[in-house]
Amino acid sequence: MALFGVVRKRLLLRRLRNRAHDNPSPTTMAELAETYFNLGYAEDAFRTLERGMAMYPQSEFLHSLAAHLRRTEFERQVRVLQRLVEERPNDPNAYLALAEIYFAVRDTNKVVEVVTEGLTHCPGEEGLLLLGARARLERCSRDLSERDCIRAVEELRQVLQGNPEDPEARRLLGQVYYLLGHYRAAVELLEPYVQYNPWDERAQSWLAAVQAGPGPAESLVLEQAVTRAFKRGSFPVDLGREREHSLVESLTERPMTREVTVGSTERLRDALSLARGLRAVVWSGPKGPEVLVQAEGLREENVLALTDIVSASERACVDMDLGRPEHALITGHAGTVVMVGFANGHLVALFSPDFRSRDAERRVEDALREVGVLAEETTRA
Amino acid sequence: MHDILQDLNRSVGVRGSAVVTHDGILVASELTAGLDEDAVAAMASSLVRNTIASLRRVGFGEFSLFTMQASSGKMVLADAEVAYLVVVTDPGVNLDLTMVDIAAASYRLNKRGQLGV
Repeated sequence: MALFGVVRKRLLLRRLRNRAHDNPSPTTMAELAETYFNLGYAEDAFRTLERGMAMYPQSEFLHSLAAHLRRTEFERQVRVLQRLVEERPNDPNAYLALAEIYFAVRDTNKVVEVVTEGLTHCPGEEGLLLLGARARLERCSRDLSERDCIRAVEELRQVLQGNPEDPEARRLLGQVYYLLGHYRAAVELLEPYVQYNPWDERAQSWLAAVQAGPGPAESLVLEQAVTRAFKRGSFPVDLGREREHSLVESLTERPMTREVTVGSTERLRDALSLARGLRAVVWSGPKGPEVLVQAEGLREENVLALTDIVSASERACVDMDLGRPEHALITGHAGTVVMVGFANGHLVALFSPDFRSRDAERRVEDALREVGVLAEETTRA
Repeated sequence: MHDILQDLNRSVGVRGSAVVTHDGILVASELTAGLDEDAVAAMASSLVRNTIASLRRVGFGEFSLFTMQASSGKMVLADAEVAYLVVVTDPGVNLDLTMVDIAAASYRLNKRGQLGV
């Protein structure tokens, strides 16, 4: 019976191969690829599709079939590896294989999730720590998530405690330091790495960027987070206390070259005060909170208390690995609160209940655009 | 209550959900591996308490919905009358669509009266 099945499959494949060869078209190529795939020959299926797409680059059908089969194959591999993890919960390679497949499609959230689970079963496993740090580094570069930077530093330090010369950990740690704005430490790690790995062009470009000066990831919040982390000593530090101290100093004293100013708060006040239904506006910046608009009957100290929502939100986001709060909307029977985040602070506006929440948001955005705060793309945090 | 949270977590991009009383006590949670239960409990409790306290000072009272977009994710606190439903999602999620599931979960939580608080 099994032999009969094999013969039937081979005959079917031969017929489709001949058709695709004698009468090539998107349809015959797709049929052949799909049959390969359904019979378990995924590599042949993708090779056939690549050939088909090269012959018919405009064929949307072939492109969408390729995407569909890639997705199906990815899901199949995930299922296989998830089963492997369930069967061998103490095998770090099972977690590593699953995390790597997610990393290949840049699903960094899933990578972190799998690595975290793997580390609970296999604590200190170097491969998992490194992959976790790579995923966090990606999130850190993409989202400027200070929490990810800090966690990546912790994971990489753990690897270096076991193997102080691990080149991958040194390179990654150098990159995280660069993102955190601590250039001296980044150069110290990246220079020797590049010296011994001159073929690594990516590390070379990182080193060049570090040597060139302040990077794109610099932000007040990031620096504050790092400073706080070093001050509370949450890093399992292998650097001496003296250097740790100088690191804190260099971070707090360095001028905030990337600090973004919201512009004239007076103009913002004027623009917002015309908004119907606006009860209060507070700007919470580096110099502390400032009331921009205050309706009659409201006391200043009560309006200033709105900034407590900002600090509670910031703390919540850090605790939950959510990065930095950028925008919030709070609605209730008594009105709407709109919060907008910038690199150097937050704006909180309180509207009365006769103002719909969407309109409240739009009014704040219009005012910000009016005074030029939203004109530049880089201005929004 | 856990089944309601589990159903909600099946929505696209939802990473976890929890139920927190108005005075910030965690009642139940269903979280993915990347989310720490203690952190969620502390965060939700602090956020709910601080937000309500701040809003009361400007005569706002309690809120019905709090949506927050952060650089690496989104968070929603929805009033289920007897408690707040806290939902954490991926950053790319379209909240307008997920909000339907959140509203349904809030309604079910409230209707069932399972909280026992």
